[in-house]
Amino acid sequence: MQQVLNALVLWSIYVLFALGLSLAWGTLNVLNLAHGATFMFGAFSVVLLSEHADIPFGVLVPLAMVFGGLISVLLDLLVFRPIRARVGNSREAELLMLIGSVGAASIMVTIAQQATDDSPFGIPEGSALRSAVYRFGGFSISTIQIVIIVLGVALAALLGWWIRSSRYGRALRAVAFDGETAQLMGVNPGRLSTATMFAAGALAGLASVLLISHVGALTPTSGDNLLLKAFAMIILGGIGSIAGVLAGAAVVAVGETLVLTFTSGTWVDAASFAIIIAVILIRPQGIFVAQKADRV
Amino acid sequence: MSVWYEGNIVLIQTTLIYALLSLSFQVVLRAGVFSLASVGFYGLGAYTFAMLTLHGTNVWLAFLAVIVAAVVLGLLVGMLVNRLRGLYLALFTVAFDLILTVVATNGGDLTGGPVGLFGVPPVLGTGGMAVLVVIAVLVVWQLERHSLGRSFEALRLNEDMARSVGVEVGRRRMVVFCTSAVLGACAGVANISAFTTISPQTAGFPLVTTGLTMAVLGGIGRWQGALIGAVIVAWLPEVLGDVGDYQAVVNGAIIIVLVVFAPDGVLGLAIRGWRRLRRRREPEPGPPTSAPAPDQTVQERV
Repeated sequence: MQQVLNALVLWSIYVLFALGLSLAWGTLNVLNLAHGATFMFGAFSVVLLSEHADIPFGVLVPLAMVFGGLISVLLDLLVFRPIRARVGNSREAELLMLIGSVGAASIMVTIAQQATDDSPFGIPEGSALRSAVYRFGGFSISTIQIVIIVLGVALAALLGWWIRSSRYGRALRAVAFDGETAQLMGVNPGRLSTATMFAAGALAGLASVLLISHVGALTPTSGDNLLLKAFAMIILGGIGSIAGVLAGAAVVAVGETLVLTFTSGTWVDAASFAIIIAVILIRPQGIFVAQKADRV
Repeated sequence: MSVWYEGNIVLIQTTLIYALLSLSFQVVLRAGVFSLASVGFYGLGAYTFAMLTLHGTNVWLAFLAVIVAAVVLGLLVGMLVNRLRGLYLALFTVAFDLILTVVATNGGDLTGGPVGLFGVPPVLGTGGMAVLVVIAVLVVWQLERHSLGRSFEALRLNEDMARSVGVEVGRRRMVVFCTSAVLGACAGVANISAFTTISPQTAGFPLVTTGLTMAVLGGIGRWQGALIGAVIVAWLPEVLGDVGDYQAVVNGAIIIVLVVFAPDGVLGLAIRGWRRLRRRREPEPGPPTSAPAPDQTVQERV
């Protein structure tokens, strides 16, 4: 039972992190390798702030989301959009955006490494969430775990509704399907991509501030490992599919827990890589997406 | 000269290793095969060579075994990924690279576990590596010439079009994939004979980004680009010495600026600059309005 709860917490963090990545990939065709660094920087910037002032935890969370969102928007304005405007061939644009995001990631990771002497950082006592532990029989759950699970489920539902039903969401799917036609119908792709990138970055920021208060500390390279796992989840569920991310995150979380129980810890990372390879070979469009010849 | 050489020998050898790795990335990217498997083959080459020589195998025999292993694995993986395109191929090959590092970490005595293998005799030396680079350049150069070279270029620019004019897409992709595999394995052998050690982390994700960066910085259109990229990435830290700890920030910024403003790399930038300079010197052949603007495809073909 306790293991199930742990897997559920892990799942929520994975979902929050991977949703943004999947959204940007599925709609804007950006494989953003700086998503992990954005994640790390969201937590890093609120840790810096709270070292100088006592900020309550309830304020830190939205702050981290805003920071993550702004970084992501900045990345879009400075890197992705200029490339998309200059390079016509979409495959070459994909490659260039991927490399540009690698450059951006190395900037953020280096700044954090220099500021922290490459050591783990955590939220100082004054700002941390005062966590209580509730016990029901042989089973215990802490406040932060409840917050993580509730936010994970709520935001996934909200994002799902946003994409499916809101004007923005419909416009976004239209742009992903056929950018030029969508533009003829009066969709402004610039504003849309800003909104999407902000949402993606904000979700990463949220995931990082929740994870840091759950496990205590992150390191400047914490995001990279998560990024590779997120690829596995997204590929498994189908790129751009929300339900796919939920399922993919569940498979990775459970898979890792199983690998951890049955073998020594060093094989854990192989789980996500094996998922990537198997899924791409057998069903590259993912579980939740109908056949789409264009992508593969 | 020799003082300079002695003082910078590590950098020089690094440049040669990077050149092999960069060529390995460039040869696939130029044909539109978005494969990042070079790093996996780099690890394969380094580990195979180390395991064989540490058990007393003759150096040349070990090298031959590395090449054979790279070709065999290259054919196998190439067959698996032949129907993948774009980011799917990129992700698959990254997963391939990283799974090899996990296997190496869990390989026990055979691969030395997380610590890796060390004490491999430094057999190649700077001269040997230089010879390897020259051979690699010759091979890649041949793949860029004549109709064969143009068919690879067509594959990158528009695969359907290439197929429609009779380019055997599947076979061509296998050729570049296997070439890339062998070049990557050679880079691994060069690395281990320069620094005598190999560990799982050295062939991990950071090397993927380094290799990709080199190939794209220089320009993926020609082999010269791969060499330029290798030189830049190897020597930039030395040149930027004063910036000190924030060196990687500058690296990252340079990468972004180049990717945004010079998508065809430093080489492309240089070629465009040279053309503009020459056009300015020579009198225009006709009225300026009739001179056709050199478009992307023309530039890339020449």
